[in-house]
Formats: sequence, C-alpha cells, structure tokens
Amino acid sequence: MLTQRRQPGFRIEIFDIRSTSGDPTPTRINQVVLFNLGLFPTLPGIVGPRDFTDDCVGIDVTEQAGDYVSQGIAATSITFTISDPVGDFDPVENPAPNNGRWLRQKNVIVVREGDEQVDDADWPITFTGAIQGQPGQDFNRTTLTAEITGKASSREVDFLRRIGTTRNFTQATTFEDMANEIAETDMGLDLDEINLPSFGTRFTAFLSTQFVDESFLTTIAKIMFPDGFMPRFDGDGRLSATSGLITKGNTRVYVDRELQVTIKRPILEFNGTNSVEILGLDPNLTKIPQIRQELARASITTGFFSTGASIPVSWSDDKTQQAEDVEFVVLSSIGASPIAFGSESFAETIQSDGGSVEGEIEVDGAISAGLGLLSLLTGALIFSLAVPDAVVTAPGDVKPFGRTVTTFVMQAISFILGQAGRGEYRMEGIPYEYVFKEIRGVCQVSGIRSEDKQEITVENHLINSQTDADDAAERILRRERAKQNIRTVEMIHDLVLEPDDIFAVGDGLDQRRYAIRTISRRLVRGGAHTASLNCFEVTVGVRP
Amino acid sequence: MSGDLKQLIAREQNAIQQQIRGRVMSDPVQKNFDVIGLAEFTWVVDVDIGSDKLLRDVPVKINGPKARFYARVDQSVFLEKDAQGRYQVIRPADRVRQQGRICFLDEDDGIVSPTVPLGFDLIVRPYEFYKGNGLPGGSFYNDGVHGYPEITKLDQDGNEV
Repeated sequence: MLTQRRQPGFRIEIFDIRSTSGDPTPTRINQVVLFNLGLFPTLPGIVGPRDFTDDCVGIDVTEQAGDYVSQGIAATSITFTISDPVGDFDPVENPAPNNGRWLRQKNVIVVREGDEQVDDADWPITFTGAIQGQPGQDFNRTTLTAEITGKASSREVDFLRRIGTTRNFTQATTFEDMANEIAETDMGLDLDEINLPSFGTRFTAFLSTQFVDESFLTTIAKIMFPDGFMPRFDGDGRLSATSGLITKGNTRVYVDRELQVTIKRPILEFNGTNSVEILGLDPNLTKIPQIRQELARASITTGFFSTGASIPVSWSDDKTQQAEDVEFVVLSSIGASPIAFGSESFAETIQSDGGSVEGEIEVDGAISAGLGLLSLLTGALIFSLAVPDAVVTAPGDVKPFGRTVTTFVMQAISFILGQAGRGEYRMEGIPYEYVFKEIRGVCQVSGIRSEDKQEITVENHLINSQTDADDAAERILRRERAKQNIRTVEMIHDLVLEPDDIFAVGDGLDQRRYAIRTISRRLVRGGAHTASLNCFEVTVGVRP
Repeated sequence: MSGDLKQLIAREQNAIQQQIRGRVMSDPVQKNFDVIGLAEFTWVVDVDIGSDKLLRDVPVKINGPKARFYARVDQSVFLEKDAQGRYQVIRPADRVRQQGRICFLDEDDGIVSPTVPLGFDLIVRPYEFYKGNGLPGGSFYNDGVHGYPEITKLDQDGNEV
C-alpha cells in the first residue's frame, strides 16, 4: 500500500568492462551509458551488471557544482562499502577471473535511487562513474566486520585527464556547434550521450579558433563561460551543463519547509572577492607601427665587364617583418664614378595592406656606359701604332714619338677597364606588426577601500566585445558576492535537487533562495537519506 | 592559519607574479637612474599597469637607443621585477592594452552603475614652437638683452592653445 511517508531506497550495480579489455572491441563506459538509456541492445555476458545492493553497507555521495572562477570543473564522487566476510570481492586476494574482478579500477558503477514503494525499474540513475584506484580492505576483530571500501568518480575525472587539441573552427561557428562537435569528435561521445542545453547565439569572431593542449571538458567550459554555463555529466552519464546564474528560477519551492531540518549560517571569517576583472580579446587586429628606422642595407661593386644586377633585400631574415613608407636611400651611386656605370632603382613587393616585407634593387646598364669611349680609344690605339716611332725634331735629335702616343692610349684604355662603380644603399621605413587588443571589463563593489580590495581576474579569449566583458564581470561579481552568504542546510534528500540548482524556502516576502554548491549524503538501507547541502543564499537584498 | 593571513599571503603571491602587461605612457628619456650615482644613463618610460597610479621612470631592460623602438608612447610592453623588486620593461607585449571599463555594484540596492573608462587615457601633447627672440639668425637662449624667446603651443590641428 502506498503511503505518504517516503521509503528511500537505492541500488548499486557494477559493470565489469575491464574483463573485455583484451577483446577486439572492448566494452566502454559509453556502451554502458547507452545500455542504461535503452539505446544499446546488449552487453557481453561477462560485463554483467552484477547487483551489489544486498552486499552494500552504505554509499557516501558527494555532488559538487563546477565553478569556472574558483575550482573549475567538478565531479560527483561516491565512496561505497561492500560487506565481504570471506574476501570474495577483494581484487587483490581473489583477482580476476574470480569475483575480485568486479571491484577493479575503471569498472563502471551505476547507482539508482527511488522509493521502495515504486518499482525499482522506474528509479532514476543518480550516478554513473568509474572506480578509481584500488579499493581498501578492513577486517576488524573487535566489531567483527569485514568490508571493502571503494571510490568512484563520475565521468568528468576521466575526461579531465585527456588533453588534446581541437580542430580549427572557422569564423562565425556558433559556440553551441563548437561545444557539440568537441563532445562528439574529440571526447568520442555518442550523440545520445550529449545532452547539452541551448546556450545562447554567440559565434566565433576570430578568423580561426583552435583550443590547444587542454582537456576537452575545460575547452567546453571556456566556450560556455560567456553564457554562464558549466559542463557536467548527469546521473545517466550524459554530458550536460548547469547554469551558474544566481537570478535563474527555482528548481523547487518548499513553502512550509517540509524537508529542511536546519539552515545554518556559519561565521564568515573574512571578506572575499569584491572586484572582478574580465580579460577578453578583440578579434580585430590592431596595427602597431614602430618609429622610422633603417630596414636593410645593400651594396654592389661594378666594373667594366659587369652586367646588370638585382639585389634582393628584406626587412628581416625570415621575411616576416612588415614595413610601410619604405624609402630607397642611395648612399653612394654606381653612376657617381668618373665614368657612369649605369643607374640603380628600387621596387618593393607591395602586399595587400600596402606594406611590404621585401624588395629588389635593380642595377642596370653597367657595361654599356664606357663602351663608346672604349671603341674610340681602340681606334686611337690602332691609329697610334701607325705613327712612326722615331721623329727627328732637330738635326741629330731623334725623339720616340709613336711609342709615347701608344702608351698614352693604352693608359686611357687601362683606366676605363680598371674603373669600379661602388653602389651603397639603405632602405628606410616604418616597421609594423599586427597584434590583438585586450578587452578589459571590471565590476567592483562600490565604496571599498584600496586595502580591502580583493580582485580576481578571469581571462577568456572568447569574450570578444566590451559589452560581453562588462556583462561577465557583473555576473561573476554578483555570484562571487553571493557565494559569501554561506549557508549549510540539512534536509531530507530531494532527488530533484542537483548542484547549481536554486531552491526557495517559504513564500511571499519571506521567501529565501539558496543556490547549491555541494550535496553530501549517505545512502544506507532503510535509512532516512538526510542530505547535507553547502549552499549560498541568493535572496535579493541579502549581502555578505 | 587564519583566513585573514591566508588572504594577505595570497595578495603577496599575486604581487610577485613573474610578468605583467603595461602600456607605455611617455616618450623614453635618458635619465641618470642610479640613485647611488654611478652615472649610468638609462632609458626610462612611464607605464600604466592598470592600477590607479602610473609607474614613473621604469627602466627599459634592453637599453640603448634601440629601446625606443618598442618602449614608446602607446606601446604595450611586458614588465618584470628585477632583483631589487623594481619593475623594468623587458619586451613588447603580445597584445595591446588600452583603457578598460569599470562599473560599480551598490550592494544596498543591488544596482550596477553604468560603466566608465578605467585606466589612463593618452592625451596628445600640444606641439611647442619657439618663435625665436627676433635676433638675426635666431637664438633660443637669453642673450641678456632680448630675454627668452617666445614660445607658442599648437594642437594637432594647428590651433594655438
């Protein structure tokens, strides 16, 4: 017969997926989650599950809300104690393939909770996770108990260990699409395992967005931060998210305080955060010019037999330094020698933004400069050879004339051939870089003195506008202030409540609202299932 | 350990963080920076590090005239503390820091004020022109007869200020 009085119950099952690790297609926790959701037909016989409810002495459950600002992503953890009088379930003393196989690390634990008056097939799953480490054993001669205690954590722990790099998301990808794709592609979750809520309409502002060397769950937390959500695996083991907004609606309203045993306000030892700084990044690059300076130097030496030359010049060895207003300064021209060896010109390779990273100095016409004169002198040389060498200037006085003329002509030719043109050039310009501009939004409690200031800084490069930064700073400050209204609540556990939920007590003007940070409770057979909640009050007007 | 003490320790730890970003707010000038008079001239700049006061005369670590290439007005730089705990400019920053915005939460009525600019704004200094003292060839010194030359200040658009 159904009564109004609750008769809380629980069931604990263990799935031995470790025994399939050597199979070609080992069973993974994903299949267990889908199996429990009725979306996976059957699991291998060895996986089970085995029902440990009758062997279980008790389970301590701690559910914790994630917090982007302080502790980051949080997981639900359970500590379970199994009665084991003959050491049958001890993975150390009675290892696989014996019954010790069930309590091995990485095996999946599923806890269901409900009311004994209802068919346990209808009970909701409140925990899906994997056993961590090696269970402990306790044989006590005084109390004559023999127990094995193990610990399991929800799926966040496993995913926080996995570090990786996402693909490159192009501009205007929505944040929702990014989060869902990372969950599916990078975290390897089945579509049915992803239960992310709709969280806003933001999209990526940068030309490309890629998350490098971090856990994918942290990445999703980053993506959700501008909208105030945190990722979390629900009891079924599906990826979900909770909203950290303290202004959201109540999950439950207890008008006549039917479930609460006590609501305590502990001493608050010191003032916490009273100023929040949000650092974002403007997606538009800002051009930063340096002062005008020498970019490059070049020189060339030309001679009579030199032909034209091109000298490539760049503003850095790796040809990445950009510069604008580049000026070609000729320190010494090759055309400045007694015989002009040609001329020089400069052309830079202009980029689409009007700047350049390199250019080319063209030196041309070098050999042709003295060619005409040389031809003339060659003619003169031939002519001089015809001049008779001995010329009688006076009786008995013979001078060597032809030889002298030839010598002069030869010297003139040697002078031309020996000429060197020296060109020396300098390129001047304004080097510049493109860098991102920081966006900074601060929200501070009014009237605080500088010595009392407690500021936290949150940096998230997906905050791409000043409005977003301002909004986030206000939202986080309100939450951080409310977090200092610490309340501890003892209550009969209500399965509807989860971390980050807000519940209200009372009604009308007397109604008080509490946001949940942690829920701790002990499940024992036939017990009252009292829960200890670590909350903070978010009633309007209540301040630390 | 009391909560107060923990809080103070945390504040100290924050204060010794390795590198901070700042924004140069003055032209670099050479100053005899060393107080014990070793006559070492150093390029120094004023830097906005986001607090309510400017850091004055912050030395530029990579010194010499090249310092002016990056440690100059409106450029973002990284600062680091030296062995004596003095900040010094060490290199250009990877992003531009400019004025932010701040709002204030009034906890009595729960209302947040409209945002206002946070940090220092750069104001372009008026250009100074020396008209000279009317002597042939001009002089910028007091020759004892004609007095100091007249100075006029013009803003960016050429208007006298």
